[in-house]
Amino acid sequence: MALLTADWNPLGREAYYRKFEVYTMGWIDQVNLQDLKVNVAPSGGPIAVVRDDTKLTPVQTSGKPIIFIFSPSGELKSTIKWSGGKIVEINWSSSEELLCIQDDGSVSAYDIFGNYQNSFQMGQEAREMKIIDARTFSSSTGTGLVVLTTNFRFFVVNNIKDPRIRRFPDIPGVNIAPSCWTAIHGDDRQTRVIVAKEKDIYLLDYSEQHVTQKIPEISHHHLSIVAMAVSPCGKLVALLTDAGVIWIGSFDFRRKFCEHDAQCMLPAVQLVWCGSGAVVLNLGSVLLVLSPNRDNFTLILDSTSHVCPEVDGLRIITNSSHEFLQKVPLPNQEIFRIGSMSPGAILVEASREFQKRSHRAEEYIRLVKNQLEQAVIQCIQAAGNEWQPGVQKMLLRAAQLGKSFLFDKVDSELFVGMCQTLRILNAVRNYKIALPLTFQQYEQLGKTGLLNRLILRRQYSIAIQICQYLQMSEADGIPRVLTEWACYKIKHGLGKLDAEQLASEISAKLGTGSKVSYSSIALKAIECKQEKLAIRLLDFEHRASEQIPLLLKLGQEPQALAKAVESGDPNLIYYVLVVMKETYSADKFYMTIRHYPSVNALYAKLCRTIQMGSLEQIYEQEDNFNAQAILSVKDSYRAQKLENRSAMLTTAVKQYRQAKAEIAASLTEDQLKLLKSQSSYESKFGCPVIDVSLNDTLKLLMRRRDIKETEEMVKKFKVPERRLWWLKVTTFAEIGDWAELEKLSRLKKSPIGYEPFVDVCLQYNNVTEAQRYLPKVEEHLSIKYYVKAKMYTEAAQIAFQRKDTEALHYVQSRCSSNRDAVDMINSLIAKLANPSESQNKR
Amino acid sequence: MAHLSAGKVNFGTLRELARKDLVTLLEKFSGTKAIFWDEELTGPIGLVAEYSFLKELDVVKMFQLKRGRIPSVSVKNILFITRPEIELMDCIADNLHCEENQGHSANKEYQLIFVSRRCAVCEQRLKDKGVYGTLTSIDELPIDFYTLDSDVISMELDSIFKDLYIDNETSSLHQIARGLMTVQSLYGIFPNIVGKGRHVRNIFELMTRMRRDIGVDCDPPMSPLFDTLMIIDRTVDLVTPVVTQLTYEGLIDEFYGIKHNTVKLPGEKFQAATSGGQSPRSDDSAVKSIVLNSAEELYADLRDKNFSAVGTTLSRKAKAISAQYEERHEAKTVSELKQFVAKLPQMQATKQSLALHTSIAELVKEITISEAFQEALQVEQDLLNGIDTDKVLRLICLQSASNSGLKPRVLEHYKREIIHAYGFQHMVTLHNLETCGLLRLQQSSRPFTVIRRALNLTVDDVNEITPTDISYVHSIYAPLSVRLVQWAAKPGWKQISDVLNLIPGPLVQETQPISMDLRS
Repeated sequence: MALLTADWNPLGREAYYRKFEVYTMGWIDQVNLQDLKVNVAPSGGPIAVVRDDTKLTPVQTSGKPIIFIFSPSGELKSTIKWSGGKIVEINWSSSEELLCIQDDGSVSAYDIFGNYQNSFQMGQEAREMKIIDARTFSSSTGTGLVVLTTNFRFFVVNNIKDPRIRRFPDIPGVNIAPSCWTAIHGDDRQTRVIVAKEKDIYLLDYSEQHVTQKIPEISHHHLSIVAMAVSPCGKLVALLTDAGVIWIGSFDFRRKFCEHDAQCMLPAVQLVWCGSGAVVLNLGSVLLVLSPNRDNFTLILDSTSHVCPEVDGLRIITNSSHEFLQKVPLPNQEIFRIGSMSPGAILVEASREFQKRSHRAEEYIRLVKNQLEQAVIQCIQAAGNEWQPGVQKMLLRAAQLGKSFLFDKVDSELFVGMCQTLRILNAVRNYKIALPLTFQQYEQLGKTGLLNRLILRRQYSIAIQICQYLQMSEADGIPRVLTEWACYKIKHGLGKLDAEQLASEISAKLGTGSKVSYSSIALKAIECKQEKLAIRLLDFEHRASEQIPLLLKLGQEPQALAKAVESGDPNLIYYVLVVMKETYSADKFYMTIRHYPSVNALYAKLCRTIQMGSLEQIYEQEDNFNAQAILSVKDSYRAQKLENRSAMLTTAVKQYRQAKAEIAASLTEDQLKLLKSQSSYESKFGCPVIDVSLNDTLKLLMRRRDIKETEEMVKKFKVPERRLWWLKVTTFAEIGDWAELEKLSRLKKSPIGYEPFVDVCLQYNNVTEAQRYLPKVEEHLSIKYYVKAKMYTEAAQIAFQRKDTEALHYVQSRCSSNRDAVDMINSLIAKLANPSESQNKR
Repeated sequence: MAHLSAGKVNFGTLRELARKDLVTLLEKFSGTKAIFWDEELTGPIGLVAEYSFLKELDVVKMFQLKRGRIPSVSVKNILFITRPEIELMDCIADNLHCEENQGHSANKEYQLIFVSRRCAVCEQRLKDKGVYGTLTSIDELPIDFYTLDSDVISMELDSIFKDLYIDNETSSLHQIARGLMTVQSLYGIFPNIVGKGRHVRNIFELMTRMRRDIGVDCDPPMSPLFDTLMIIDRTVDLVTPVVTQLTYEGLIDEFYGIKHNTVKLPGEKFQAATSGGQSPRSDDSAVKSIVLNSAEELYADLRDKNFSAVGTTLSRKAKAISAQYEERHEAKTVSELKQFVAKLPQMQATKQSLALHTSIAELVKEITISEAFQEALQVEQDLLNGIDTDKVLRLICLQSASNSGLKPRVLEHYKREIIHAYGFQHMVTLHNLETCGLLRLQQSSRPFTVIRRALNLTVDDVNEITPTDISYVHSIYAPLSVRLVQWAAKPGWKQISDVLNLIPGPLVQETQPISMDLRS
């Protein structure tokens, strides 16, 4: 027990701070922080160092600086041989990109492995005036950057991924360099700059473009403020004066919590917060830890150090080790504090005795029985906060023991979850992977965040193991890691493997599950100018909507078309057609689409509806003469002038002939003839005739009693006799020319029978005329026709003569409203049914 | 809409889904809305949501989408809800140009909603017309299937036959597959998919593909409700659509046309009969719109009866209802009287519905007893039995279908007669009929005769009143498609594989893999 509290330093009455070693640095004996400018990425990120040119050191190599990137355990990851302009600042973004900020305002981003990623500019003024200082801050959307120019203006970019530059209002007063400044991003998503100019402090707000002066009450004499720091919670601020006095107050500078003379006369290296409970003044190899209540203690380090604030503590990097300073978390304090009687402490004691197989375990348990649940939770939480697996185990064992007395009262998820989390944390804390995350940092980063970190470090294997272990969903789990792996593979497999090998290696690993985004891998391949590989990879992509745009980008139109057809999605086919139409010659276009009937048809439709191309050309290409002819026919109806119509129809005839559609050709020829006649009639009769059918034209002539012309037309169009008779019968009835109708009926035996004669008479309610033709109606139809003419008696008589009872019933059914007729027919039916009886009666 | 969930399958869920999609979409636009409808959509969408329902969603006014200036309404959002058709895009572009010229566009937002899918061609058209930027948003309302009744869902796509069989344009297959995916998402994966005809395999493949793209592990988490999906290509059976339907509902459709469950009838017949009957929307007194669905008990009873059985049913119902009315004389005690009164609303409704359908039946009968109808029917029935006769296009098509094509001489004769009688513009009609196969030349074999015999398509002694076989719907003819379904159900298509070979288009018999725990 005593062992665990050995490195605890009390700060005031309630709080303890502990410092423990995370790693022994791999750079031991090679790096001297004294001469270097150091920057550590937050949340256990890598460390970048560059020679500090403000310090005098013997230069080994001449010229441009070299940036070294180390892992948190001090293993050299990469070096960047700087060839650009003067570097003002190097800083890590929250997604672990190293931002190298040059004095001309250009910012270049590099990954952990020293690979250039991208760059952006901080605007014209920054370029012209040059910048002298820069700070990054973490914003709600990512990482932000504020720069200070030589004319003492601040410019901000709230998200380096979307660099939109805004200017802060000017600092009032004499133009001298600020003595210190810092940028903060509040919960209100506003970025502000606090700047100290000698004794004066200003708060700059760009969104409202105003400046507020802040006057902290500092009783010690001073000339200027030389350092400042805002606590992680954003509520407290610490200042350091040139006289070596630390002032801690509220963020609005109105309240003072304490003022402490640190008595440091040498220029302090860093003023930072350790959590929100204490300020740390880094004096090189000595750290002063000061609480807002003025409690303090000093830590002596073995060499010059660089400190880096985290949400829950402070990382301390020295020439030989990587340490972590934090306020001892409450559960751990409760359990391990000397003489603690907290439930957790007793449970740990019980567990200890239990391991020793001592009966006293039971006594301890009994002691804590009523608070057992709290005890278990304390132990679980405390385990999370411990760095040493041994201690974690001890605490978890205690929790397990307590749990067994609680049965189901305690949520087992809590215990299992903590075990899982610790397994993962212990695994990634390994110095080879070197992700020294505390439990709280991990909570903030999240599972996905952790995966991102591992992917950035190219630790694909452990990332996949974690996905499997946590059973993460497909969307952000294994397929994502594999996709990233494949992208890496492509980028670095260049030159070593050929496209075919690389593609098959990737697909062998990734499988053909629908969740793997082959298109994003292919996009990477395109970026790396590996078109052949990209095409090959796109073959594995299932989602046509992802695949097709890339294939088009790669100039693989035929393949894109094939995939679009497979997908059946008309929108995709259309996209491909649009691109092909632009890039292909007409011939090549048709040759490509002709293999796909559905594309051909869609293209034809697009030609019809949005005139994407010419329909004629399609049909010509296909030698589809029939369709060409139909098109000519349709076009002929759009033409205004008769000669144009005729010309189009003449073309149609030709096309029908080519299509060997003789009937259609002859019908079209008929139409040409008809049009010619009709146009002459139009001028002759002065009424519209064109576009009327042949039959109607004939009827028109008959109505005008133009016998000569009618005859001529009949001859010209070889109108069959039956049809001619039909036309005559209907026309004569229509114009009420009953005499002419009768004349026709006598002319010769009607080829259409005499039923139509009756029908047309009845149609015009001329029963008298109808009677003329009724006797000539064919025998089997006569009853029906008498009924039609409503001559029920005659109909019944005929039926009776034919001894047809069924017909009699039929007649009766049609005259049911006529009482007399019904009776009469009844008697006829009776007669037929029983001829002898009716004779008897008579 | 309770009747929608009354069947074996609750198609109410499908309607609910469509309603939900509509609500979600409309709620996206805050503030008052005026909707400009593609006229063709008002019917189908009416099956999903009625105007009163839309009113609750801040829809203030509704108009028909047409060219020119749009009526001025003071609303925040103008919604255009349309099918993806180029002409409609031109309408919208025209509307928007007018709005801009008049300076209305500044304080309004214009939203475009496609039913059922966004269309790249249409959007390009809007860009070309320079109005794409005026639209605040473009969305899609993914309704592919409309619930017509407790046992019928339909895509209500009028142009699909023309697209598929005349233009050979297969875009709509994608929509069909998508619609079926929605059905699957509600009722489970179809374990078996069988079908016959030209486009069936294509639909099956698209469905498989879509399922794979969504991810098989994203399958709907329910045991399949349907055992088999049957897809029958229209070209498998071109006979049935040209034969006159002889059921009550069929004849109403033949004479007056039922569209989206609604029929429009001449008004004068209904003046006395139906004061407040079947949700009458009397647009003007000359036309009466009547909604026909199984929600109405009497109609549910009548709709599939052969028309000759309708009269007796109506009179039986009439007698029953008057008998019920007579009961009031027998009601002696107060409680008996109370019982009678309780039954009154039900009786009133039945009476009204009886009056309505008696009127409709009279309208239909007027036509069925006419000579022209009887003769045409005779011809039709003769044709089905394989005897040649001639009549107009529909009959010619029937002749072609039932004889497996026409003899060259006959076809030529028909063509000449049609062109000479009705005009040369019918060259296009004839061309289209030939393209889709409704009209064709006879080949050496005549498979329809074989199919007719094998599947018993024509039945001589049909009992129209109490039918025992589906052939009653056309009095002698049983629809080929129905026979195919019957055979598939029992004893299976294996038994008729020879016949199936005679029917055009490939045969599809597939199973879809379903995870173990969902199998029932």
